[in-house]
Amino acid sequence: MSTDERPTLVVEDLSVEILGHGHPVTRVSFAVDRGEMVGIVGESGSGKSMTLRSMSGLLPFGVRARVDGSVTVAGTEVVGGSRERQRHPRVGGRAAFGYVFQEPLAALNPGFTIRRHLLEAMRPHGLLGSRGDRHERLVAALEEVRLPDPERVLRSHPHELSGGMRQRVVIALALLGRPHVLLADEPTTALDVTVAAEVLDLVQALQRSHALATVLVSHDLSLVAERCDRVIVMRAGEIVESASAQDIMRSPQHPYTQALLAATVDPFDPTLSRTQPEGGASPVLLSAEHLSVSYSRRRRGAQPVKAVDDVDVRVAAGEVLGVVGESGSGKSSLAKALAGMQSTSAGAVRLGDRLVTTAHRDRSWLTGDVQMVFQDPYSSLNPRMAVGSAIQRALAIHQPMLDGRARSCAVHDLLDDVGLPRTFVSRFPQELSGGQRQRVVVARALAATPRVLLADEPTSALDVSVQAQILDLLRDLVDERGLGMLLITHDFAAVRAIADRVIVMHAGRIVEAAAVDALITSPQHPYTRRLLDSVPSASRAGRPHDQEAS
Amino acid sequence: MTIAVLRRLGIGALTLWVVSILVFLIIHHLPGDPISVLLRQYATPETRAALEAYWGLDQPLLDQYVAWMGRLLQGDFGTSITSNLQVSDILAERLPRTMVLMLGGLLIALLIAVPGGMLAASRRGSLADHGLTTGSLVLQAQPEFWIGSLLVLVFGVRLAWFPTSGYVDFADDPLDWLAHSVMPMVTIAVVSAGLLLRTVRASMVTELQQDHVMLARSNGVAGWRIIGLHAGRNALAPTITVVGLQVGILMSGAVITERVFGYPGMGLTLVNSLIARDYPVVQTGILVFAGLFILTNTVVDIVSMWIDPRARAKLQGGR
Repeated sequence: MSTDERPTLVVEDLSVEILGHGHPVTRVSFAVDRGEMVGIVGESGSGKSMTLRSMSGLLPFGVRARVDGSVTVAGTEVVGGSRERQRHPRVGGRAAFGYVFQEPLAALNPGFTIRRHLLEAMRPHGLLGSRGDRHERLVAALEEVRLPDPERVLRSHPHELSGGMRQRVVIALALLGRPHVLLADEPTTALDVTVAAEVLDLVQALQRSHALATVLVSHDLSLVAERCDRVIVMRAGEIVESASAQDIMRSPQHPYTQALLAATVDPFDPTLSRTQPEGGASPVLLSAEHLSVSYSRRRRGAQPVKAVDDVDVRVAAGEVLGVVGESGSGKSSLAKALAGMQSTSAGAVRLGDRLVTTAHRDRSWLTGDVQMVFQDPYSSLNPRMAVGSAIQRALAIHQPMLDGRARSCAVHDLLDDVGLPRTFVSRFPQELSGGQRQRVVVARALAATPRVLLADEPTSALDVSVQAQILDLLRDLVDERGLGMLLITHDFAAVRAIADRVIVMHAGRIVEAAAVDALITSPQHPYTRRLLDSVPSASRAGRPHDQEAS
Repeated sequence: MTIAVLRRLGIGALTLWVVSILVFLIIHHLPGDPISVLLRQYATPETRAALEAYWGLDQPLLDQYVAWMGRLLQGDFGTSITSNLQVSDILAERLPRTMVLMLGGLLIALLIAVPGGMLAASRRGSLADHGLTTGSLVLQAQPEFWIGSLLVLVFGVRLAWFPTSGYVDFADDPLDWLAHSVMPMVTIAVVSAGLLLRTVRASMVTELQQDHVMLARSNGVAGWRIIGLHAGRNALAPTITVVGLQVGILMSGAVITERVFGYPGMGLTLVNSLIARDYPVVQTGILVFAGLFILTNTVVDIVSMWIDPRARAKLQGGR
């Protein structure tokens, strides 16, 4: 059989059995040709990462697994055979696979310099070569992934680089063995949206220039549809649908794909236009004027960091205000300051007409009026406390006048409000799914009868199909109860789905504030435009996207 | 670098001062006193009063403490009441023997613990792992006097490979010195080896699950190199911290072991001096042990910060 006729990567009936823990991957087959980029989409537990790992022999240490089926790279079988070959299969003097990881900080050894990383990765390929030109080759490897100032990067440790730079280093390491196939497992999920777009541009450019067969795994259907030629949808370890990016977006066949697509909000979809709440009549619930938050450095003489710098915010009853920004923009510090969980260095916060803070650590005003919904429902619920007790505890603090009977009635009402069955009272968080947990968190916040909800990335730890449900729940609560809500997020889709107005934060300041529609259709500030350009969008699927932002 | 180091040394000095007060108070409040031990049935009120005055024991406690501290700060460690030898001479002769015993024990413990822990972690869940972890737990549960007696019985009496007690100076006969030192060192090592093995294993297990280990594997780095270098280097920091804390256990181990083997080190001296209520030797000896412990842990703190490049910046900054 000639290697030229078959696609570079052919996966046939790949199955993984974790001994004693079921089958995360069942009879998966697909093929990727050289220069082609195929996306695998699925929610958590769909087996998409496990597929990649089992193909390339990267199953976790200490996990006993059986991998069946066939994976050929350039015509050579790489599954089975000796342990050593499985760990690092090589085909025709080149590595079979290059692997790009999700979280670049975790993927780099904190104790090694970047130079050491590159040398360690060169050694097994026999690329160490002569000392004479070694340095030049190291620099060239970094230049290939367009890292500025490679000399400095070589000397740096991972923690001294930005997230985007780290991911470029990881890509450089993956390319060192001149792989046939590039496997990228959620390569941009840990990165800010503008950086993510740059990294994906780089991956795409390298894939073309090196004619790599590329597999991009992601939870984000829009991203995959925008970047890939073909899309594979996985659920519960199986492929449910496989088609070209356009076909998947226009005419998904499988009900699961349709559901996934329905749950994916495209922030640029013009049909999403919200009718604005009738103008300005509703009272302002929470406002801040000239609010600043600064963190002092521990080192003497260092300037304090201004996380929030002279910010004005107003949230009215029945309104959802989106706060969008990248990491380090100050959006979470703003939320904490508004909730009274962070001392402010200047400015005033008002709850209704009441001035609640002028400066520093006075927390006497902390009431149930402002409640937070946290990002990660896995860590914001006490694993030893049943759902009912968690809500009861909040009730006991904020509504102490209730007796036992009234309190358990109130718990039932709250569970009804967030759409959970009353039997959940006796359940423990670990028995619930992510979405159910987040509903419990919302119920617990409502127990304080707040006037304002501060939701800090309430959906970013959840699967796509669940995100939409939680967002709908939050919007309904705001509408029914006349609450005000601050939705802090990096995700334009979430803002587009439920917010009325948006403020865009950058380096502690508000760079733009507008109604959602206006902001998305005609952004004024250059930073907002750059941010929006970086958002993966299904409506741009198949469009060429290789202009590099840097 | 200097400020972080100086701060640690300052805290160490403060701790040492508190230790000096505690040691002083405890020993002076123990029932009995050195004069009674010294004179036994020959004690008359006159000789007792004369000796107490000679050693300054008739002074108020606070004055005695101040006098002791004052002499210490001038480098005068005092004189033993029972043997009339300079405490500094006793320390100079006996402390090195104890340190050698401890270091030898630690070395043996590490030689067992580091490879054993790495092996157990890299074969997690295997028979070797279960054997090593269970074995280390069993070892950890053995008291030194029991291990020591067992070794004496088997290797000293039954097999007669090693002398059962005593000491020969290294300079006189290195081989004989080794023969006298092996069993005490092994006794000290046994208890530490168990805990260290489990520490190495635990930090290696954590480290081997890191993504950077995956990345090294995906780059084709050899398995032994990943375990020994990529993961091993990072697993070192928690291990070193535990080694520092182990020094305390090694010291108490040395005290008991020296008594079992009749090994004339500082531990045996301390026990005998305590029985004789020899205040100057006990006070200063314990203070020196405490000082060594604090110093070791300060060095350990600095070294483990130095290993981690993220913490190293803190060490280098703040000049």
